[in-house]
Amino acid sequence: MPEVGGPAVAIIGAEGEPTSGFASDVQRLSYRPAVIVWPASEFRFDGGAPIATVVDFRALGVHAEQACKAVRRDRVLRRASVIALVFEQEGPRLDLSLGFDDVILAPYRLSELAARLRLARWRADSNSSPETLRVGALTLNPATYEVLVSRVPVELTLKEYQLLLFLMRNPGRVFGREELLDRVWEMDYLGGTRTVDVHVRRLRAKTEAAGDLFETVRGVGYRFVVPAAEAD
Amino acid sequence: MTSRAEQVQYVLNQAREQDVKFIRMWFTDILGFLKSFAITVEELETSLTEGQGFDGSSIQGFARIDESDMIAMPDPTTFAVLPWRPREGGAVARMFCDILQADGTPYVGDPRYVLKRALKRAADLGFTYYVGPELEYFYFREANGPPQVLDRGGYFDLTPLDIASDLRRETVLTLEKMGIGVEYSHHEVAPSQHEIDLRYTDALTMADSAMTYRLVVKEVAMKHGAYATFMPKPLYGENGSGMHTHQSLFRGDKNAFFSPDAEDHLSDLARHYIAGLLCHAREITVVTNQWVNSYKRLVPGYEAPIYVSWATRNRSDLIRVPVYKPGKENATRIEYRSPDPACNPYLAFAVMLTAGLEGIEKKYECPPPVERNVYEMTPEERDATGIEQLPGELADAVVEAEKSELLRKTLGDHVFEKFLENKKIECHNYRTQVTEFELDQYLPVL
Repeated sequence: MPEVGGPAVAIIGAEGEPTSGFASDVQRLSYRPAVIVWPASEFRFDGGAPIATVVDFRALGVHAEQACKAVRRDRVLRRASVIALVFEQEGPRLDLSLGFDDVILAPYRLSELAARLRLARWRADSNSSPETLRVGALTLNPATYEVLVSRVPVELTLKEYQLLLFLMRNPGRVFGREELLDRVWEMDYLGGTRTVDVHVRRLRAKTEAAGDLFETVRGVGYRFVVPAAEAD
Repeated sequence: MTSRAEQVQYVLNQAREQDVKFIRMWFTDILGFLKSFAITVEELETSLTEGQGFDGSSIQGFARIDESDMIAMPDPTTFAVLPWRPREGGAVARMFCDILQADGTPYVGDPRYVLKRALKRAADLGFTYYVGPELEYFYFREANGPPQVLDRGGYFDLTPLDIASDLRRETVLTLEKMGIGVEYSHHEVAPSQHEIDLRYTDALTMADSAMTYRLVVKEVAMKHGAYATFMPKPLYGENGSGMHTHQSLFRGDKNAFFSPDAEDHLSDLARHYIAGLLCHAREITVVTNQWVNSYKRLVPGYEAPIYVSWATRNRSDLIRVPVYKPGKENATRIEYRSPDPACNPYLAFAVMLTAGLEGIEKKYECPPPVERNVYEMTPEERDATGIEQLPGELADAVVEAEKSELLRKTLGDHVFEKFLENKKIECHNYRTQVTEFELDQYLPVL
């Protein structure tokens, strides 16, 4: 699923220059800048998590340290690369313990910025193990038990996760409720097949942004849909 | 991946991802009070694999001092972060626990185990038991002193400047965040009385959800400086709070209560189930309505049931069968209307289910539905139709319960005896009180 306006890049800075100029450069490179004016208490990302967070030291000055800590605490932002944007002469004094993945020295060249964002994007997309299951904007990594929609983590209960994993491993196949119950729930489970409906409904709601991936097959059960573009 | 080891890994990972620092281990005493102790995230892995030992001797209805070593074994499928706790500095999560004895076998005094046993009995007959309760409650300004209502609204009223509807909305959102589905919520009949209906699930999930629900309602109210109560009848002269419980049995994908042939679309099985509930209603009332105050709700004039009857239309009967809507076979169900929200949901679901199953197994004959308002009948007319009354007070309910083999079998000897012992003490304590009513009525004239 293509993200409207390109993949997002979060930029933590101040209003006006120099942050706004940087945002324009990001946009010129076909990324979607999401400027967060510091101080911010909450980060919200509509339409997918950013592939990188740029902390604009030039604009933040002494507050940059706080901003970096907030990024590290944030469940969405801490998953992506953090890039420090500093004036060239400040480079040698940059406190590396703040935990960056990359540095951009200003003034920068557009081609350099492009290369760094490409690297960040590659990292964001390959940040997974070989078993990672991917359908459109939805990814599930069984090695880390992580489920992401457009790189935003989705909180699932244990059974929701187990059901999703089972369906994603068997895309395109129709399963009856009884069968799903047998395969995903314990042998001694005392709830019935309606429980499957409840879980599918919740999975639908929680992964809504990736489109409806759960097809109800009337009188039979459910099928995990493979989007046409991905089915060979 | 259904192995315990995999489940443990998933929960550990969730705890790490969501910055969980403390995990509350939840379980329930026999009266339905939520009990909890906290462990740190460092202890989580051990707790999930081996359980967490604790001293059960002070828990209501649990063991005596000499057998007090118990194990709380968390159910990893119930892991959820508590949304009302701040996430800053570490979130707090909860898990429901099964209570085990030191040797690892289930503890007979654990209400969750009582319900599991009843559900097992249904499963052995090929049934799954689904329930959808409607819990009513009141908001008051504070817990102590005479109750002061927050609003003067009535049924379905949308009152502007109604702080209670904000509280209700926040409660619904919190429940949804914890994975508890909400069907409706609305203002109820009495001032400051509200109702949030949970979307039906299997009974064990629902009993856990009902426990969570009661806490969430109270937490949200407290956060806004109000007090929420599930006391069955807090205001004289107003409706009390009930927990009407919609219920049905499924065989696989099929609703076993539905019959395409019957005029009212109820299967014979549903009729036997109704008959079972009607036959044993008086015996199980001590569980569905367990407090002295519960019986102040079960009086004429406030939409609460008193007579042991069933109907398809009237709402005054103990059991109501909602009208069938074409294409909604799976929604066929019965609504048992006497329980109140201050009951122990594990025990209440267990006794309703076994009463119904008894009717099915022994093929009890179902009396015809009552199409008249039972309240308007004369006592002679009621006698003629064989319509009984629910116990009028807790002491009566205890007497009925003591004679009940069904109740003893469902609860198990331990819970049966502890529960009734506790209720007898409550009856005694109440009987020895001199009430305001007596002083007002008698002191000036006697």
